Amino acid sequence: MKSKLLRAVRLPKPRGIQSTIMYSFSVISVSLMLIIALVLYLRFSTSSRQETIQSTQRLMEQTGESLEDYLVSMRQISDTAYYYLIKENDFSSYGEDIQGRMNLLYEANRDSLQSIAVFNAHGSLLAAEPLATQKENLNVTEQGWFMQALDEVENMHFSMPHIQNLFDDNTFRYYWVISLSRAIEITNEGKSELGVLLVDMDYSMISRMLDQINTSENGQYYYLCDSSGEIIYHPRRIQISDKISSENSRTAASYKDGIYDEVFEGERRKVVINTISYTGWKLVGVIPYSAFTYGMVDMRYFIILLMLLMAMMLAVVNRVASQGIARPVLRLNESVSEYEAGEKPEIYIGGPQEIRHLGHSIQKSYEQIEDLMKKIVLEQNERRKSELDALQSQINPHFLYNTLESITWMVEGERNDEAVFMISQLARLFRISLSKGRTIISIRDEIQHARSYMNIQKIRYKNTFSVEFDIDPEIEDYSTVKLILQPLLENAINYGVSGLDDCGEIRVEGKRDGENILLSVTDNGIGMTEEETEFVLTDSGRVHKHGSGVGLVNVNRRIQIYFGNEYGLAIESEPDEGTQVRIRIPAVPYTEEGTKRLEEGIQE
Amino acid sequence: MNKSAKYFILTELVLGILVAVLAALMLKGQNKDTLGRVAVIVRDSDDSQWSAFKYGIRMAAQERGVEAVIIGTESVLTLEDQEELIQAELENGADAVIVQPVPDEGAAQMLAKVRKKVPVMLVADQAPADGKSFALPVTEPDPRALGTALAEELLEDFRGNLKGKTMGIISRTTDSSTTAGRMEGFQETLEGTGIELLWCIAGNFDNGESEYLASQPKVDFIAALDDSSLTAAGEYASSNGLNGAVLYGIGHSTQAAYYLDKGIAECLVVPDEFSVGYQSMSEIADSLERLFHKAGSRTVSYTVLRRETLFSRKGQEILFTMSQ
Repeated sequence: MKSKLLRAVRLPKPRGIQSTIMYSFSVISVSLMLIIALVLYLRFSTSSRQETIQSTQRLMEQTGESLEDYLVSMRQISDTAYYYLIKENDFSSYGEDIQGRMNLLYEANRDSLQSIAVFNAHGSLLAAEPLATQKENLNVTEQGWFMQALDEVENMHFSMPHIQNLFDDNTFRYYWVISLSRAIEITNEGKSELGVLLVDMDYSMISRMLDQINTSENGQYYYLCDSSGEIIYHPRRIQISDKISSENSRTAASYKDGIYDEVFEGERRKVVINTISYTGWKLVGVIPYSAFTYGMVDMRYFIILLMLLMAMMLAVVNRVASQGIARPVLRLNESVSEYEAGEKPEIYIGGPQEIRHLGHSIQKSYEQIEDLMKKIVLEQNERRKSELDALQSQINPHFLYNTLESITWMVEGERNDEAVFMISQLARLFRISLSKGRTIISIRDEIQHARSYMNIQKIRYKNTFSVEFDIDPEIEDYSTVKLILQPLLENAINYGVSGLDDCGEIRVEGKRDGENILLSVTDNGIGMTEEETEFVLTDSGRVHKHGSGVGLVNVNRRIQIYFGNEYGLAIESEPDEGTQVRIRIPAVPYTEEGTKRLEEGIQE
Repeated sequence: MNKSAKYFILTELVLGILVAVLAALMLKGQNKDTLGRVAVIVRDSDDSQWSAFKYGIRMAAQERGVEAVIIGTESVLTLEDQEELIQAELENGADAVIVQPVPDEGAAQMLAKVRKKVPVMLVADQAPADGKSFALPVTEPDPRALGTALAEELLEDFRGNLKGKTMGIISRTTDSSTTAGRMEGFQETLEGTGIELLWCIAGNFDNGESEYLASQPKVDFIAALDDSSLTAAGEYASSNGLNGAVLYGIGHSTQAAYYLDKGIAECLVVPDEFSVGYQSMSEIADSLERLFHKAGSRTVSYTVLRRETLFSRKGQEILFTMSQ
């Protein structure tokens, strides 16, 4: 199973060119698209994250400034009340005047103020705006803001948000305030005494400021705590108080202004700290990491949508492009396939230059193959014909008749020894002619065949010519096409020396010439004119009036069929001087393998 | 058509379907700003007793991305009125309802019908005391526990010795299971302590019915079992006094807290109405968010406040929620 899978992976089926191109284009384009999408997304998310942090910082700076402005204005109210109303006037004589001016101060700032009140060191109310009745049995000296003011008389103190527990206005309402208290010097009946000035700030002013920036739906929020981490404002204040939710305000309070990474209750988040001057309060912006990706969902969808649309478009483009590239190749392939199937279509030539060139080359190759095929068929036919001719030369009935006549004549003249010699030469001649049906024989046998033939002919022609064999023994073990010397000798006898009286000479030579072997038959006969010499090797029908019927043309062609066109016959002749016919064949050792190769027509 | 063309068409088809699905998801995301719209129907919704509850509703709605619509109602709400209001809200596109059911026999059936359409959360089990309880999720403090806590405070004040003492009980209704539960818890705790229950008054006290208190026999203690009756008794006491009776009550309005602050009421058991609103809305949000979420009942806590603990940290937090 595993090996099958491996094979399937490692050895995919060969695909068509169009599929390969389209597959490759698709892989490349999809990879590119994914890379682009990833880069785009990372780039966008990084810039979005930075933008979120920067906008948070900007928002916090603005809110911090607003808060500081508000707190400064409260301090200014406190200063105004103290330095311009209380410190300069005696409560016993200017009480109503103080009350009236406090009323003006309150009315001018009533939107951000809950109340202004002055208490003596014993907690008795000296003046208050708006006018209200102090609760019965109330001991303000136990309240935090009062104690703070008297503990550190030189400072103004901002309390934590609390329910104002001072006045009874019969409205059944309880006000959530932040108290700004300070120790003051009161003049009452000419005596200076310590007192406390209380400016109760409306908590809703601060909560509204922070509510305005706490509108994000991505989980980002802002809260305000004091320097010890006590929460002054938090959008989930009650949930935190009820332990439904929690906040890392203690840690945030320990941070200096800046941006921090923290993990709180398993959630990674960025915390931006902005300290409010004078109070030491910390305005904290919390950006959970999930907020960075909150708005990215649509962005992700958009990028994926874009990628899908691009993929659709690329699929079309890839298909068109791959078709454009592959179509000429496919058409070329189709025409080649048809050719292979035995049809004779026109090879497709079209498309780009390279494909056209390929088409031309294939067409030319096919044409050459067809030419070669025709040539081979022709050569085969010629070979069969030449072999038939050779066979015919072996059993020339005229030659046989004359030879047998000569033998008969010898026997009748009781020249038995000559008859026996004649018969043995004839037998040897035929044995070599047959050669077990082979066409390629050794030069030794060919020479022997020529000797036998010439011995017979010499007897027939009553030794009117002489024959000399000059064969280099080295060449006897090389191969030759059989019966190539006999036609030359026959021609030498018939055309060369038969007309001469006892002075005809035929010389047969054989030697090695480099990689070739040269055999030659030379006679001193009547020779030929240049024109006749020319025809001997080109016109087989004109020169065998007295011969065996097998022309030199046939010998030449047989040599060329078996050894190649560079081999064959060469003739030199001069009228009344004689003729020399040279045979050039390659030096192929006479071995079983070499013979077989030559028989099958395989040339070196 | 060859193989390659088939694959091509198939690829384009698959990609096209993906594009369509994604585009639909994007459009759906853009159109959905909130998780849903929740209608909140409680009796006399503008009354200060609901301030903490409404604050809790708002907080949870803001956290969960739910649009909360608090319907304005009168102090008297009949079954027909409530049904009409619910139907109107459903027609206006409400996806869920948080409702204080009217103590009427037909309320259970009516709300069961509504439950088949949208998630419903009750903020008090106002089923008739002698009938079956609603088969719907309820978010409320345990009524028996509230009654028990009130009685325990009374016992604590007199160190368990109430022999020869008399008391009267006032409540808005007597026929709801919530009042019945508070009454049971209260009476069971005081059982065997020797205190004698001289009278029980029930009414909505909106139109001076608290004057009936004047005609009642003198008692040592008056127990008000709900905010309406406590504020009515407090109002009456602040102008007329209670003829020496000490007022104990269950309440969750700044007015009730004021009477405690003034010393008119001796003890106040404050159900955590912020949590009632917050948790009921959270549970409904869960139902809207998760298709197969089955909303369950939730029980919230309560706090016992005395005059001296009214401005404690916890007391101030309670007053903060009541003041919103």
